[in-house]
Amino acid sequence: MYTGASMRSLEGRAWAVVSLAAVASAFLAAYVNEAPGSFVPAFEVAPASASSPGGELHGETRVVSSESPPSVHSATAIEITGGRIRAFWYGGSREGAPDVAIYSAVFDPSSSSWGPQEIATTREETARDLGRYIKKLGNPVVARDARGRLWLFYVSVSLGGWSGSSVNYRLSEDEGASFGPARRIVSSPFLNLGTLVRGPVVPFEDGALGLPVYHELVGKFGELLRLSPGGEVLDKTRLSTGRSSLQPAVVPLGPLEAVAFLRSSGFSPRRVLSVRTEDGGRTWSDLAPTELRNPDASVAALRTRNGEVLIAFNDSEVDRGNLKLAVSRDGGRSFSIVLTVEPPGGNAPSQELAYPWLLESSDGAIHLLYSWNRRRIVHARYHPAARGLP
Amino acid sequence: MATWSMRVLLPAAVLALLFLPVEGVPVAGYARGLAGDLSVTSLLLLGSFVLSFASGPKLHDRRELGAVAAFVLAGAAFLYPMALGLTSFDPYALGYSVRVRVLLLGLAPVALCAWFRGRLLLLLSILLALAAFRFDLLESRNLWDYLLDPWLTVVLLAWTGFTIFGRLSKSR
Repeated sequence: MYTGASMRSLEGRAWAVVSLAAVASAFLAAYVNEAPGSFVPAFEVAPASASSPGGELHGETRVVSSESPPSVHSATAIEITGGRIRAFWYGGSREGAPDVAIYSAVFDPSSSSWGPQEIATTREETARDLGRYIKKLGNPVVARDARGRLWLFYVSVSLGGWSGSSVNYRLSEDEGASFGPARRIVSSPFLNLGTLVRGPVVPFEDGALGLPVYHELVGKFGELLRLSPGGEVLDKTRLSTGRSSLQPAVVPLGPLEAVAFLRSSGFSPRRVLSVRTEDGGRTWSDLAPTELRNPDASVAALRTRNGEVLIAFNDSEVDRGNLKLAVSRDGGRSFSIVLTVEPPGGNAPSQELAYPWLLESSDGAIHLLYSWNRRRIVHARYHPAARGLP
Repeated sequence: MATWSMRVLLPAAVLALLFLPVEGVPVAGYARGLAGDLSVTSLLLLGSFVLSFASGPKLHDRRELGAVAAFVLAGAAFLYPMALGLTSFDPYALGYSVRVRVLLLGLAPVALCAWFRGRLLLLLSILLALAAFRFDLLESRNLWDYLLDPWLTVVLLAWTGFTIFGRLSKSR
C-alpha cells in the first residue's frame, strides 16, 4: 500500500506520511501521558517513640461476629474516629458459598464492646458494579489513605477456586459506614486470574498505597502493587518468586527499608519466610526462613510505636491449634515469644486459630483479631499499661 | 436480499442479546466474568471478521494476519512464562504507568517495521491499542492487556499451526 512501487504514487506517499504521523503521535501521546513517577518511593513510617520496650502482655478476649452466618474467616481491622475499631471479615453458610458477604462491626473502647454486625458488601452488589458475573467473595483488607478515606480491598472469584481470584476495592468517606461502587484491580495478564489480598496496606510518602498481594495460579509468590490515590496500578514489584510463599505481611522499618513475612506453602523447612528491601521496595532479597515455625498458615505482623516488630503466628509445623505473639527488637531478624493467645473456650485440643490481624490503636493498645474454628471472629485487646507505655 | 438481511440482522441480534440484563448483570457480563476482557487487538480482529461476514471491507489476508500472529506470539512467549512467577523480573510490570516507557521503546521498532513492510493490520492494532491505553478505555491500566490476551494467543497459535501444516502438506 505505501511501500515499494506504490510509494512512487502520490496517493501512496500521502498514505505513508499519514500512517507514520498517526503511529508516531499515538506513541508520543502514550509516552507523554505516563508520568515517570518516583523510582525510589519511600515508605511512610512513624518515628519510634522513646518509651521503654514492652513488658508482659495482658489482655481480654471478645467475640466479634454473631452465630449467623455459621462460617466466618479472614478478619481485617482499622482504627476509626473516636478511637473505635472497625473490623471486616467474610462470612456465609460455608467458605466459597454464593451467600458469602463481607461483614463489618465496630468496637467502642469506652464501653469495651462490639456493636452489631452488618453487611458491608455482597457478591450481587459487586457483580452489578463491575458488570460481570461473580461466583464468590473472599479475603477483605481495610486501609486508610492520606486523604482519610477507607479502602476496602476484597477478593472475588468468577471462575474456579481461589486460584481464579481477582482483587476489587470500594471506597468509604464515612469511616466504613457506607461504600462507593466496586472497582476491579487488573494485576495479572492471565484473564486477571490468580491475585489475592490478605496483608495490611503500607502507605508511601507520596500518597500512593502499597498493596501486598499474592498469586496462586501455577506459581505461589508475593508482590507489592503501588496504587495511586485514584486506584490506578502505578507499578508492581515481586516480593518472592516460585511456588512456595503466600500472603505477605509487609512491615516498613524506615523510609527505604522494610521486611515482609510470608506464609510458607511448600517451602522447606516449614518456617515463616521473610524478604527485605533497602531501596523502598524496588528490589527484594531472596526468600529466607525465620526461626518461627509455620504450618502453611497466614501470619500477621506490625511495627509498634516503640519500634518493635510484633508477629502473630501458629507455632507449629502441622496445624493451627495454637496462636502465639512474638516480638523482635532487631527489625524482624530474631524473635522471642511473648504470649500464647487464649481462645474463648480455653486451649482445647483440635481447634483452629487462624488468619491473625494485628493493629495498634492510638491509645497504644494492641488488638489481635483471628478466626476461631472458622465459626467466630475473636478480638483480643492487650492494654498499654501492661506494655510499660505511659 | 434474504442473505443480506441475515448478514446484518444476525450480528445485530447477537449484539442486542449480549446487553440483555439477567439479575442486574448483562449477558456479556457473564461471558466477561468467565472469559476475562479481550485486548484491543482481539477486538480489532473480531470486528474485522464481523465486517467481512456482513460483506464489509476485509482487513485481513494471510500475510496481514501472519504479521499480527508473529507479534502476538512473540509477545506472549516473552510475557506469560515470567508473569507466572518464574523469575524476579516481571515483564508484565513494564506495562504499568511507571515503567511503560520501556515497553513503548520496545514497541516502537515493531511499529516502524510494520509500517515499512506495509503490514496495515499490525500497524492498526498497535495504533488502536496505544490510543485506547492513552484514554484508559479498558479496565486494565497495563499496556500489555491492550496489545494481547490469552484467547488471542491460543487462536493465533492454532491458526499459525494450521497455516504451516497446510503449507507443508501442499509442498509435499
